[in-house]
This record gives sequence, C-alpha cells and structure tokens, in this order.
Amino acid sequence: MKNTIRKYWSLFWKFRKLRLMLLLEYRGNFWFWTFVSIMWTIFNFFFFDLIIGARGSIAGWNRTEMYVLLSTFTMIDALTWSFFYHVMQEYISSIFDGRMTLTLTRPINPQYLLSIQTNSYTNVPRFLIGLTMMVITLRNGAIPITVWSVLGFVLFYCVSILFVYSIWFIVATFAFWVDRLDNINELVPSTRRVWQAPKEVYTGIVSVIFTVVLPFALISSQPSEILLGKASPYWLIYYTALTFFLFYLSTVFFRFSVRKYSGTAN
Amino acid sequence: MAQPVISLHHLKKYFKVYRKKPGLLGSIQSLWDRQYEEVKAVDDISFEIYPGEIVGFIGQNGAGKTTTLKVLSGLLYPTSGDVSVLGFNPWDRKAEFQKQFALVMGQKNQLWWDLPAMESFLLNKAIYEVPDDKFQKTLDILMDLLDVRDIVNIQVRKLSLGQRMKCELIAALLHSPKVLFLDEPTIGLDVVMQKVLRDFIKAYNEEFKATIILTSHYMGDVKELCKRAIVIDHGKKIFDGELQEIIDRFARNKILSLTLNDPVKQSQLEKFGTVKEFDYPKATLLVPRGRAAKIAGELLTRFSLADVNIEEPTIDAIIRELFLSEKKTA
Repeated sequence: MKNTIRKYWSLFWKFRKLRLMLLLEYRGNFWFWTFVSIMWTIFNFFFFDLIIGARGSIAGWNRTEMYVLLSTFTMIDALTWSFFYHVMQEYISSIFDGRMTLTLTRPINPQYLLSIQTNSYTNVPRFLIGLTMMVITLRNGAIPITVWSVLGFVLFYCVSILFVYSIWFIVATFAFWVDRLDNINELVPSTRRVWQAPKEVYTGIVSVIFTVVLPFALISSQPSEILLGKASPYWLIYYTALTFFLFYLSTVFFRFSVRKYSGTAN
Repeated sequence: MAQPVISLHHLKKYFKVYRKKPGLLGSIQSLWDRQYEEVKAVDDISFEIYPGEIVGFIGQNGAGKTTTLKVLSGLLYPTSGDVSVLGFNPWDRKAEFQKQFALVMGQKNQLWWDLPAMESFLLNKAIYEVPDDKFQKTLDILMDLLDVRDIVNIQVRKLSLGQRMKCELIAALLHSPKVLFLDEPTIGLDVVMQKVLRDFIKAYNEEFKATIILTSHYMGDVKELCKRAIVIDHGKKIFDGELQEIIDRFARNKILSLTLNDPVKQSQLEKFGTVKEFDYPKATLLVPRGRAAKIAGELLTRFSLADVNIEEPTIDAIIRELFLSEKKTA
C-alpha cells in the first residue's frame, strides 16, 4: 500500500514535469493563454464590483464577503480549469480515437492515470490573483482569522475540487455510451456562473436544484462561509457526504462504462 | 509438456453495429430510428500457445485478428468463451498481469510527440516500476539491438517513421514482457526497416524467451519469424499449424522460371504447364507441385535452356489461395 501511494505520488509529479517541459517548448502559446485568463479574472471582479456598487450587497453578502467568495471561486476555477478541462478533454478524445487502449493495458488504476496525465499552467497566475485578492480582502475587511478557519477553508477547498472532479468525470464517462459527443466537455464549465454566486441568491425550485440536487452553488460558498464564520454544519456535512458519494459513483460508473470500450479498428 | 502461456477456448466476441440508410433522409431517420445488427468479429476460436513460440496470426482486414488481441490484452470483454494469458483472466486487468505483457500496435503510438523518446521510457519505467539497474540493462540491450543510441534524446516528432517505430518498441519492451502482442508492427515501413524490425523481434524472442503473437499483412514478416501460423477468416479459425503445412496443403503449383537459348513458341511451352509470363528469352510456368522436377527434366531435354529454376509460390499467393478455397467451401 505504501509503495503504491509512493508510485502514484511520484507519477503525478512526473506528469507535471513532462507538461512543464512541453510548456517550455511552446512558450508563446503559454503567454497568450496566461494573458487571456488574467483578463478574464479582472473582468469578472470588475463585473461583480459594479453590481455590488449599485446594490450594496448580493443576497445578504456585503462587498467584503462577496470578494472572499469571488477569490475562492477564482482559486477553485483556476485549479479545475488547469487540470480537469484538459484531463477530461484528453479522456473523451482518447475514447473516440482509440488511445484509451494504452491506458487500459498499463499496470495502474486507469481512472487515476486518466486524471493526472495532462494539465495546463496558464491558470497559475489566476490562482495567484485569487489568493492575493483573498489576503487583501481579509486584511482590509478586518475579518477575524483563526488556524481552524484557515484549515477548514483548505479542507473544503479540497472537497469542492473533489466535487467538481467527480461530477466532471461522470459527465465525461458518458462518452463511452455514444458514438461521438464533441461538446460533452463543455457541460460542467457551462455551470461556472452558478459557482460564483452565493447560494442564497437562488430561491424556490432553482435553490433546490443548485444547493441540494446538483449543489454547484455550494462549490465556492462553503469554503467562503467557513472563512467568514457563517457556515452551517448541516450544509458542510451534506456537501461532504454527497461529494464522497459522487466520487464513489464516478469510479463505479467508469468501471461499468469501460466495458463498452472497443477501441478503434486498425 | 510445458503449460500453455495463452489458451483460448470457444472465444466469441460479437458487436452490435448500426447500419445507416443512405442519403440525407437516412441520416434524419437515424435520429430516432436506428437499425442495428450483430457482427461476429470472433466466432468460436480456440487455440493454445506455448512458452517461447512466435505465432503468426493471419487474416484479411476485418477477420478478427485485432479483436482477438484486444481480448487477450484485457481491453475487450468476450461475449463468451474462456481465455487465459499467463494464468490470468485478461479482463480482470490485474497489475501483476499487465506488467508481464505488452501490446504494440503499429498504428498507435505511446511516445510523447514533442519530447525525446527517453522521457517516455522514463515514464514507463515509473509506471511499470522497473528497478534502476534492470531498466538500464534492458535499455542498453534494446538500444543496441535496434541501433538507436543516437536518436533517443531527439524529439520524437523529428524522427522518421522507422526510427519512431524502433523507439515505440523499446517503450513497449522496457519492462521485459513475457508475452508480446504485435499488431502490424511493420506497417508503413520500407523494406529495409521491415527487415531490421524482424531481426529485432527474432533476437528479442531469443534473448528474453518471450512468447509472441504477430499479426501482419506482410507475409514476409510471418514467413521469416513464425514457425506456426493461425489463419482466421470472418472470425473463424481456418488453419492452425506449421507454416510449411500451409505451403504443402495449399500451394498446388510450383513456379518454373526458364531462360531460353533459342526461340520457341508459347504453345510449345503450354504442353508442360500454365504459362504465366512469356517474354523471350524469359518464361514462367506454373506446374503441378508433385511433377515439378520431372517437368523441369523434360524441358531440359526438349529445349536448349540457359537456366531453369524451380521456386515455391510466394506465401502471399498461397494464403490468397487458402482464403479463396475457404470462400468456395463456404
């Protein structure tokens, strides 16, 4: 078990190293996409600042709280975009073009191998912008920070990452079941608008959908609420339990779906 | 007798495929109503392969060769039948099993396109958990056998197809697999490179005592490497035995190549066999296999010949004959 964990950990970093080497081969591409992602982040902050400026608060979240939420969203989005968008794209195309064959014949958990094999570094500056905004907001907003609130934030940041991964992997796995699904990888990113608003924004049936059934509204809200000292333990427990259930479901669904794989004929 | 490394009993693999009606109307109709039919890619195949054998797996396109290899590699679940490779059920996909075989597909690559092949080798070393000393030793042997020492640190995209295939083979063999599935390894390569790869496969088999199944459309590969051949057609096994047996059973004729000293008429030669080519002073005759020597003797006494050769037909022609006879039987 210890050896397996060491092997998996070492492989994770080997892939990061290989991706970094590729990035250095095509640095022009890197700088361009970095510029695009930074601009996207700046416009996003600017957009919400305009709304808060006009209304004073959004669904009971004041300017400082909204900035904590947006910073959390930026850090989650930067990481999920860096990894999952590229990983799932590669995963889906490997099903259609037959490259999955190689993955399935290797002595390693194929879901793990598929999940670590690629990434992009163009969103690293976005993550840093989010982190910087968070630190500035917490200092200027005079929000009391404890070790426990920081640890809780980090923990639920990871839960959110796992939640996004699980949902995204389940969606991508549907590619085994149809001959071609070009846009399936765009489905989860298309919900990102929902992640970056406080969960209280949603009311009625929409609230049930986005906080209970498919709780995209909890992705940024839950870690932020811990930092702001307003998290409800019930929501945290529900969100954690659901996330681990979805992760389990992603592994079961993958094992079941992979039986559909036939590769491409020569 | 040694235990078989690979054994298949009554393997069947059927696929459901969608048949589209032609034209735009057919495409629109297919949105809500699709006609499916069952294709028997592999239909009741059985065979056993013993340690160290190199077996040629021969068949036309769509015969079921690759499907069989995919079942043996654990990529496909069979519709029915028993399969065992190295004592494992392939589709359990156990790591202990996966560390002992390699699947090389001539049309698929595992090397990182924009990086030197060495980076892919090191990645495979980590994936297959090859110890440092064993990795270096195996790498040295493989690099020497394939003569690639000077190209493994060049980006893969800058290598020729032949050089890439050599590196693909190294990447697939670094963990010293006991069983090797080679699916069209020489496809697209020039004759020189085909020969290099054949020599390598032979040397690898001798050095590592590996059991190898080889599929190839180039009969030269099979003839040079395999003592035994399994021929499949439309998912069914139609022959399993020594390659020489195929020649004995299905090559009904031998080829007599003549170089004439004096002009003769084609009709004079037709009395001895089927004239395939006649362009004085050269002539080629197909004669019954059992009478080839006798007919050659008669030709020598009857005509003034500068040269006469008795040759076997090419293995491609014999296999073609085999498939044709199978078609007639069906």
